Amino acid sequence: MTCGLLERGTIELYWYGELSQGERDEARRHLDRCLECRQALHDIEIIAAALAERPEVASPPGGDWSRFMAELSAAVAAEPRPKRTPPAESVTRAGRHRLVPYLASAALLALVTMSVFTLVRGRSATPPADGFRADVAMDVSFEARPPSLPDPALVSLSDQHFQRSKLVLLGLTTRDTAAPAAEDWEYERDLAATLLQDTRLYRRAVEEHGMTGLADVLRDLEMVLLQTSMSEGPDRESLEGIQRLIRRRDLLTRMSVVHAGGF
Amino acid sequence: MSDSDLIPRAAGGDPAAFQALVERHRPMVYRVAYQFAGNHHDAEDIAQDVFLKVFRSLDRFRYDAQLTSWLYRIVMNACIDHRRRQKSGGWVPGEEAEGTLLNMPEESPGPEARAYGGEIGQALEAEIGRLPAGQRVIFIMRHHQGLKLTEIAEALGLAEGTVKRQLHAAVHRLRHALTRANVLASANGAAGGGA
Repeated sequence: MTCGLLERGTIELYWYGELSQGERDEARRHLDRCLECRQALHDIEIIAAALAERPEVASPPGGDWSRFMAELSAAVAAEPRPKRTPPAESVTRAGRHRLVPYLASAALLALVTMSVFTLVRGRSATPPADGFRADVAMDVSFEARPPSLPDPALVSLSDQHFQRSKLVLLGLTTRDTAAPAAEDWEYERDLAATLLQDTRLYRRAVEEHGMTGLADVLRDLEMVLLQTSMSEGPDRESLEGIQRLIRRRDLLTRMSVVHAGGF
Repeated sequence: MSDSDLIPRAAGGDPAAFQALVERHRPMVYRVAYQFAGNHHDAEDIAQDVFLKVFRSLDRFRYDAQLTSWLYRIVMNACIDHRRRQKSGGWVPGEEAEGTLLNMPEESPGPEARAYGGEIGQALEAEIGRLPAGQRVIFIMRHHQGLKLTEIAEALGLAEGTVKRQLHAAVHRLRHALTRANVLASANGAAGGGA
């Protein structure tokens, strides 16, 4: 049986100097009487000593940066200068990638405008019966922008982003942690990585608008997407951790509420 | 000239300012990329990717943030992206993959990496290469960059608990891999039976 302190990573944190003084004293006392933890500490010391011999390589072979700089210059020269307005014509996949920040901001504007429009118009409407979160709606209602109808294409973009994010969450929550399927996990990780940047941009813009409730939802979503995209699967421990996070933050319900209440 | 002077000039299209930024920060970027990749070929790819992303994003850089922290995050994301691209492109299963890898010099540790640490070093190098990208990034940031867990969490935009768990998982895997290979057992024996 593995010692609880070892299982929780306390011994590593002790070695890394990441424990408080009290925790450190407690760990030291524990180490005096636990052979397994002493052995683990010794193993970590051996690993660290070996890693300390790992070379620090801070330049290409021979310290010659000329090829690297030439390639970088060529790549930079091939880049269009960042534009603050999008081109009118249709864009390629790569071009769309460069326009993501613009599209995200524009879609956010649509999101905010649509939320306000819906809330102002529907003050007397019955709130969703299922798990309605008043704080989210309150934050949105503080927005005092004129309620004009946004571009339907941008609303659609926001909508697609939320739908795809929910798809990732639903996929993750329904995975069997006892036997996670590699191909499914792969799909969710890739989709999460694709959605992450837009989510971050939405969240920042929402924060700038002072919409803390919506920002909280997006921050939690961002955390789940980040953890998902950083995981390598099938990794039972990571999957369980992500599922716990989604449950604990009640993220699916909160996303449904935001979605139903605004865009 | 400071970073905060160079950034707006580079963002405004001044190539000399951008070059000065690259020259100032390329050793850090390359060092982290090499620690992650273990060979020059991939380290150069990652570093190129990082500076291209920097170039594309300079006009969005927030001046209340440290450039090095921002750069760190870009490097780590580039490392993870690079790993993902490698995995999705041309990975073949089983013995064929092993053969491919053995015959692929770009995937082997560079001469500097091969020179260190004897049996433990080699076993560690192999196992670090097998760590999931997220764990590897966090492990490298802690062990090689010497960053505190709070700094890693801040740089990667993760909760500190997540960083702890990932680091714990990485160390756990390394210990077990080395024990499986009997490397730790022999090292412990040589050290007189442990602490």
